[in-house]
Amino acid sequence: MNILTCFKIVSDLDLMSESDWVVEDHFRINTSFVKNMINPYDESALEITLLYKEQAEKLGSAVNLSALTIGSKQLDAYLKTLYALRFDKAVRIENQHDLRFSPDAISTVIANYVKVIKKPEVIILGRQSGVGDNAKTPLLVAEHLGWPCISQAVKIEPASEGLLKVSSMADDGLVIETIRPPCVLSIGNAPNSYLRIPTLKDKVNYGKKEIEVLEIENYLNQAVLEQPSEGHNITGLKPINHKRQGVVIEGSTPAEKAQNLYHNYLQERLKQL
Amino acid sequence: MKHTIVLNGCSETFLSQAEEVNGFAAAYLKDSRADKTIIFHCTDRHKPFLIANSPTPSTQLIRLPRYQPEIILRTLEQLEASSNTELYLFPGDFAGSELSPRLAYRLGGSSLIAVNKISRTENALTCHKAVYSNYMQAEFKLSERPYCISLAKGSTDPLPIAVENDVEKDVSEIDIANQEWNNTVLSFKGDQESEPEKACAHIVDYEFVKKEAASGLENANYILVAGRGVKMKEKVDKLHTIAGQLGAELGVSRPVAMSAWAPLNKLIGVSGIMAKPQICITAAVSGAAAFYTGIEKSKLIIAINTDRGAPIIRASDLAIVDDYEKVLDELVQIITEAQCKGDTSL
Repeated sequence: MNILTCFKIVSDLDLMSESDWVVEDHFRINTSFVKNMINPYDESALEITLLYKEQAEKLGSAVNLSALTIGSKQLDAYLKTLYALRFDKAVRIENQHDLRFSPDAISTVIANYVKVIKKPEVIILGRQSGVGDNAKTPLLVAEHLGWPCISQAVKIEPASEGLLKVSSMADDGLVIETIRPPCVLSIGNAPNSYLRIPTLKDKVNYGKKEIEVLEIENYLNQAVLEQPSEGHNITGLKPINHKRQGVVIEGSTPAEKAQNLYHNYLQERLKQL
Repeated sequence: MKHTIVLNGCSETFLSQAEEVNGFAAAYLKDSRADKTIIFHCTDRHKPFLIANSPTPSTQLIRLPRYQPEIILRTLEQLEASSNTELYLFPGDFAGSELSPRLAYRLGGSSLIAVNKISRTENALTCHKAVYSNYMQAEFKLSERPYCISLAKGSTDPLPIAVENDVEKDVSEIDIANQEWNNTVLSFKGDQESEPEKACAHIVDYEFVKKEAASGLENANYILVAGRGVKMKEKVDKLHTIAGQLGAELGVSRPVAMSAWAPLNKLIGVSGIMAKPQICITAAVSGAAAFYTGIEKSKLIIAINTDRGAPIIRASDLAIVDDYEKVLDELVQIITEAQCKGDTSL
């Protein structure tokens, strides 16, 4: 089975301080000074993909894994890590355009790439990423390809005869389906799916494979790239104010602080509950 | 403007969906004309309940074997292709979030997920939603009709459906298992497979495991939340015990849930539960915006954290800069003693 897992590198926005949220021209925000990370949902997608490969290979099924990201050369370090984790192919589609709020453009690029290589039977993506918070890319990839999409997937296991057993969260329970590919899987809140760390040996042996770099213009019309036609445009951006009083309860010991909290603030409120 | 509401009547969450959308419509769609509510459902047994709690006078019930997005999308696509509805409104749950952009794609419209406010302008719908992991609020103009939006969880207060005994509800029904309807409406006359079977051809086997009992966090008056700083499952278990002693419900932040130190139904934040308690105590929570959104409707937020610079300190009403374990142990002791003296309601 051929699986394509798509991921995005994002800034760790939780490291930004209040004064860092400055809106610049074209509603841009400079987040370049905080560290990058794999988008948490995509991290789960990558780990779930690796877990699937391990299980399928134990059952004697061959699995070929490709990883795809869209962005600049800086992302190659992440792709090398994925080679070290035994992905078979790492692809980066070079892009310098602002596609933060353009999930249709991103999904068109992914779908067109899939149409060209004609390979993956399964595409796995995280359901949402910070910055745009669009939460639409996996769904639109499925629409562009005319494939079914299972959203909020949390577990993927091999089943017989090339089928997949997919567990996904529903609003009132867990759905477990045996699926015949092709399909798009959108990964939701999947506990225990932090991406493993490659061994030094695997980094040396596999981490230096060549990354395939493609031009985004081959997968998306230049005019669309410059003016993504999403049916929506961003027209405003401002920080959300989370501030409250932040009164610090003083005391020389935890016991004193707890006493202060209870007698001055909690006691009466608890009686009213 | 003419709007249509789409609800998932197959789910036990139907009532909260209906009240969520009803609250949003009352807040932002006063001048809009509600066309109908489309409710997908699985059993005739629930029909009276679904009709009674439909947010609009006109309701279209569509019966299908179970909630299945591919079937629902094929049905909506065919049914609404010639409709002049300008806005489709979906709740902010999993189903609403997956159906809205896919329906917009199929109907040639535009979509936005997790919308918390809308207003109408000429030839566009202005929508507001949180971006940058809930640190920023963005405004978007949607220009392609129909607009298909799903709501941000907790963006407006739920509004119960008014019971109007003198108003007869206009109800139409479709059963997609009905071959005649398939033949005429969906134009698949003569096909061996019915439309539902085609849309689900990729599913070989299906099983549904009902969600474990609700954690009660959504409606709890008093919650204690464990954050990443608790560092291990044993500490979360201990906080669960402390929550019980305090008379509170335990919630957790995303890193705690993703480490499987607590079940997912305890997760608070944009990807989990939006709580609105009278009192919320956070223990070792840093205060990431995506988490904070889940407690921001709390009347009183008390943060306990060793780091005075943690964002949660500024976002709380009261803060204790200290070790959460020591503070909570003391608080439990104080409350236990108060209970013995009959000095508290707990």
